[in-house]
Amino acid sequence: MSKPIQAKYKVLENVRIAEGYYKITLEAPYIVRNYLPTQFVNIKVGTGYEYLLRKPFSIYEAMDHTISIVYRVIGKGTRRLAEYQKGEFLDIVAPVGKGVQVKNIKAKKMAFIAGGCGIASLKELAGHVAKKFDLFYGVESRNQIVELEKWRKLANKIFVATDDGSEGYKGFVTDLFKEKVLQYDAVYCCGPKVMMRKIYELFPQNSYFIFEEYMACGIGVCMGCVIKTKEGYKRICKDGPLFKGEEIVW
Amino acid sequence: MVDLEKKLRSPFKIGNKVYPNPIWLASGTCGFGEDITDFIDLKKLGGIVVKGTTLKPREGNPTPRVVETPAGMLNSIGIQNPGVWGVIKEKIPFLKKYKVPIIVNISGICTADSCSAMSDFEELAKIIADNVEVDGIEINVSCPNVTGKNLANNMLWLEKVVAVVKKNSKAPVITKLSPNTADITGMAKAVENGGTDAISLINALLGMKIDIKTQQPVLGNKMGGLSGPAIRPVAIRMVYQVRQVTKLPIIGIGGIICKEDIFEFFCAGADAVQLGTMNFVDINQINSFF
Repeated sequence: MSKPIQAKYKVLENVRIAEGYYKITLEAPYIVRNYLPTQFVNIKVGTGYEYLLRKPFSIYEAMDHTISIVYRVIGKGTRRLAEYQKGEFLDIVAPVGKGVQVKNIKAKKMAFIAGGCGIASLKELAGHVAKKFDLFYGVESRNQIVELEKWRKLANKIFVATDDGSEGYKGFVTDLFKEKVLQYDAVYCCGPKVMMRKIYELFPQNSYFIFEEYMACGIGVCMGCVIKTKEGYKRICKDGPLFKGEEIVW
Repeated sequence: MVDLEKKLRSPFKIGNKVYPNPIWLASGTCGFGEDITDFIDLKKLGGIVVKGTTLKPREGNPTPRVVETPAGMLNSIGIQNPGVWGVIKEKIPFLKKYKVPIIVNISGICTADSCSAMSDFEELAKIIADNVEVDGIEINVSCPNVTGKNLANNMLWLEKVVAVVKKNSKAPVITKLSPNTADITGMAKAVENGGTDAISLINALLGMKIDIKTQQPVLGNKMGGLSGPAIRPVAIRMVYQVRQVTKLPIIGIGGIICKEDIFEFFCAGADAVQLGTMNFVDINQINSFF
């Protein structure tokens, strides 16, 4: 695993891509050279004390010398992040997290299941296993759907569920998946905890989940962002954020 | 006028024990050192105070355990640690390779249901003294997240617990005081009477954040310890007050983010400092202090 470093990275673009969702692209050759899929970046937003702690974000895409992050504006930290302009710099600790060795993924027919901004954590890994998976994607409404045209190039099939029925199935993405459980040999999932628990119940073997939690350090020292596993609390920032479903005390 | 730059680079003494400089890392903010070696050369530190260590392994508190607050953060980790034997066997040997002074932060456990704190402290001090060579013992009488009873405010208890640890320790004994008291100088005098070799202060201030959407406290443990720049004026004030009543070495802790903050603690009367929340925010900058 590569060493994380704290460095400043230049913003190349920061644009709104769906209702409440933004995509920021950074010039980050060190991260591109050294990250593994599902690793994340820990961003210091602003320079003062107002947003004191770093904010963790999944790497959405990495290419050549740039990475991009898809984020949903949910609080003052992400609101401030959305204000960053091309040419400004962000102080980032990265790459952090354990990461996945793609060569160890043996499954041939996988389901990638995203709830809301969980989509942001799955894309990078999906790019490494293109055409070996179907995407199940649940959002509140069609105007929150993120870059579906890109996913069409990666996924075999895409199943969308919306709360209001404005696109695809009206209801929960878990209901969509329930019908097709037997078709898959592995599951990768990121979304609200309650959704992930439901997916685990439907697919307890060979299912993997990306977890989120409030973080302080992001480098494994503070024991803040833990998750209860069968071997005790583990650190999402250091031992995760991806965990096998069977490990977790749901 | 004190030459603050010179003081920052000078050795710091507790009794006869010399630490290479007055910049330490605070307990709970640097684990047992393993995960910060990517960022900091441990050999440069004046000391590292390892994660709070208890007699038996502790799982810690339910999540969420941390949350950001204005110019600070709340934590309620609950001293998740592998227990004193785990620390001695698995953690200390790693740190020994770096030749950094190791200070073990010890905690007795006292909950609303049962209190074994006094005997815990005695046994912890004995086990450490008999089994491993360390450069200091920091008595955590003030963890805001595990102490059911407010022992950090009980002068007689404080004096007694310090005496017990001192009697059983080979390394210098530092007592970490809680700010959650109306009488910080009284607490300082009590631990001096108990025989502490130095005083460190402040531990985190007890606080709470409520989510107005759920109308419930955010932290799993409801209350947590406030740290970061938000608490620095309280820490500076308490160091200043304690300096008026003791000649013991004082290690200032509380919201240090830059070199000027360290100097402010020196001016208040601190002989050394511990960096805490800063390790989460701007760990690179620590390298510029040496």
